[in-house]
Amino acid sequence: MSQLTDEQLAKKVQDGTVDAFGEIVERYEKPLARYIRRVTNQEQEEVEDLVQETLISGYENIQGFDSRQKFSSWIFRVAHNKCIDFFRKNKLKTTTTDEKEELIESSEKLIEDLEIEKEDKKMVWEAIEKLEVKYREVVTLYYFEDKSYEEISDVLRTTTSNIGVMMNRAKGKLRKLIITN
Amino acid sequence: MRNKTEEIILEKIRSGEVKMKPKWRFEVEKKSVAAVWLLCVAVAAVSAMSVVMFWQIYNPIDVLGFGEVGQQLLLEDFPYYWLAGAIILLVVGVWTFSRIGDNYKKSTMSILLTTAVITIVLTILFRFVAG
Repeated sequence: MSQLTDEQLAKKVQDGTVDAFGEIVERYEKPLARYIRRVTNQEQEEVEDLVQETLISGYENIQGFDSRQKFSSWIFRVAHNKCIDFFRKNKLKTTTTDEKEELIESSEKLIEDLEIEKEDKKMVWEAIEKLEVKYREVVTLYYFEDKSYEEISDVLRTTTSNIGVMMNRAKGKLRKLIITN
Repeated sequence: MRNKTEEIILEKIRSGEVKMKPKWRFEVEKKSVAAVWLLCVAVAAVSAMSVVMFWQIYNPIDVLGFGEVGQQLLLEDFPYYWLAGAIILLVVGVWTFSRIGDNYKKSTMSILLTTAVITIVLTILFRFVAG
C-alpha cells in the first residue's frame, strides 16, 4: 500500500478499501497539522481536532475527488475550508514564545526572500501572525509546505496570477511589519 | 503500527458513524451548477433579444425625428426590465461559470468574455428563431 501514489490510494478508498484511507491519514496527519496550526494559531489540542475533522470530511467527500487532480491540493482545500469554518466560530489567538520558536523552523527561504537578517527570525512569525488570513495561508503553503503557485491556486480556488499578487502583497506587508517592529 | 488519529478515524468509518457520500451527489451538484449557468445565459439572451427587437421595431433614429413626442414614446416604451434582467443574469452567469470545474483557474476577463460571447450568439440565434 505504501508504494501507491496518493491519487491511487484515493481511488482505492473510492472503491471501498477502508485501509487505504488509513495510509492517507498516516501521510497527511502531520502536514495538515502544521498547516492548520500556522493558519489558525491554535493550541495542539484544537489543531488535532481540526485535523481529525478535516480527515473525516475528506473521507465523506472523497467521491467528489477527481483523480486527474492532485490529492494533496484537494485535501489541503478541505483543510482550508475547515479553517474558514473555524474562523467563523472563533477568534484568532496569539502564540506564546515557545510556540513561535517551533513555528518559525524552516523559514530560511522566507527570510532570504524578505532580505532581512537571520536574527529577525522571531519577528518573522510575529509579523506572519499579524497578516490577514488569506495572506498567511499563501505564505504558509508556499514557504512552509513547499507548494507551487499552481497547487496553491487549487487549494484557494483562484488564478495563479492572483496567487502571485497575493504573495507580493504578503511579502510587502511582512517587510513593513518587521521594520515597524 | 497505527497512531491514535488513524485508529479513531478508521473506527468511526468501520462503525458506520462516518459515511462516504455517494458519487452521484457530486455529479448532480456539478451538473446543477452547469445547468444554472446555461439557464442564466439562455434567459439573458431572451432578455437581450427583446431589447434588440424593440430597437428594430421602434427604430430610435426615426422616432427621435418626431421631437419631444418621439423621445417620450421611446423612454416610455423602452424595455428597461428586460435590459436590467439581462444584465443581472449575465452577472449571475459569470459568477456561476467561475464555479464550474476548474474554471477558477481562468481570469475574470476570459470568463466574462466567454459568457458574453455565448449570450450574444444565443441572442442572434433566438432572434432568427423569433423571425
